[in-house]
Amino acid sequence: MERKGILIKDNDMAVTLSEPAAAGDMVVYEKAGQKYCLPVKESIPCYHKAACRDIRNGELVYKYGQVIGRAVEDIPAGYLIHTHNLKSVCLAPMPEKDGD
Amino acid sequence: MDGRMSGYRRPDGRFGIRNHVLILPCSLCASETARFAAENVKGAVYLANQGGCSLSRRDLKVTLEVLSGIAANPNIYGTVLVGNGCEVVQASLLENEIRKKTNKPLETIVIREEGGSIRAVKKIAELAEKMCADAANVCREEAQLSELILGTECGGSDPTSGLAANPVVGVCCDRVVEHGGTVILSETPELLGTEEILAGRCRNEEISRRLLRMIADYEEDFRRVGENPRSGNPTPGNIAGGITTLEEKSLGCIHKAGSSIINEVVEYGAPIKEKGLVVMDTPGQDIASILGMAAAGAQAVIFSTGHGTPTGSAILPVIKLTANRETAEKMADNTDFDCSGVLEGLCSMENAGAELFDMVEEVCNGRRTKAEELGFQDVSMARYCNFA
Repeated sequence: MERKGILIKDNDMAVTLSEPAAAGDMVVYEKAGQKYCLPVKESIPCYHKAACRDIRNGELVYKYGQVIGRAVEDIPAGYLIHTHNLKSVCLAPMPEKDGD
Repeated sequence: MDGRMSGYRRPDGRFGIRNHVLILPCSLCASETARFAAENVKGAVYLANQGGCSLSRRDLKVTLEVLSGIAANPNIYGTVLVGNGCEVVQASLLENEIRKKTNKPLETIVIREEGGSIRAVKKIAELAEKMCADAANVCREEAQLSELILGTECGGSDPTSGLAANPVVGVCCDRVVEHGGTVILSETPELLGTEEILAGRCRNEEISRRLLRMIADYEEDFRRVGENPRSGNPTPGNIAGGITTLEEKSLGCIHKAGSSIINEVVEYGAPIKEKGLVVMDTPGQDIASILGMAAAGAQAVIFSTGHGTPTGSAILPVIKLTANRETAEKMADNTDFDCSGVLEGLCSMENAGAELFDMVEEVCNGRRTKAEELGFQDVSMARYCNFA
């Protein structure tokens, strides 16, 4: 089935789904005024992200045209990007105070 | 309309898009008397003040900055100040601060000197009535959109906020900056995780340093009371909604200010000197953030929301938008602009942003927002210490 996706900037590697998708669905999104189709490989909930190209373990991942984290495993196109395979690279949280 | 707005040229040279007379209590003790007077003067607005006394030095400084900034806001024709008589924010002290910022009409009433609330209300109402009559005689003029200071805010966020509503606001803000206007990015806690990106977008190193310092100081305030504003973000609710990392969450927020370079970093409520994109140090609490931007001279605010919110201001129009179709329908009383079509593939981000820009122009030319129709006058001021 056809499902809608949003690519915010042209260099983004994550397309956000505005409908839930199952393996075998096709996510349709726009990039530079052209329509693109991405075959979905696993179930992806609404407003979650799919890799719109193959991402390698260790690669920085872009959304909003900016880095949103680093892949901690290979993420082939069409798979879910979430907390299991993407980790924050922004400044580490401040340490908790002693005694907390 | 083509990059123009119509409104009121003030004697201090600034340009307002509304023409309110403000009844401003110096402290919480003067608030009810001021409210009673304001309710009896057609055309007057009122700013509830929950502070103004028993303040730390830091909160006194913030209060004076914000209250004087509100009186100086170009949407205000003139102000009647109302003091009780013994508060820390003495009417004479605030009057001085206002005079430093503007030469607009200003009157002061002190409740104790008048001999109680009833006599004070009568005087306040007389002064405000006269000011309203004078305000009505000011001719509307045209000005360039380059004189606009547009605040941005987001609240009651859901996954549609970062995905569509904020980027649509960003497109609109870039248009405002292209026209030579000013855009304020606010809400310091929502910048956490994007500080390096924002620092890289500053006009020079001095501004980058100020921006990083502002965020570090904000976190330090929380540390002092044993809190860490970074821990627990994104929240379990955010993660269930599809947000993976802190930077992704904050990027969704900062997108609403567009992609311009950052020309200035200002303290809460402080006057803005530069054009283009400016960052203000405000809390994430929407109403306190909006008050800070109004004190800096913003004539209007764009507010993106996911779940919907009634927020309005006595000082400036708050234009609320959502990309959540259900919210646009359920909260139609409170929502000015629906861009859910972006998520449904019916409308591009660019087109929705252009339509929103048209609405901002209309509001700058007198169109009333939903919150203005309802007469909402929400007030909250950032504070740092408990009352003394």
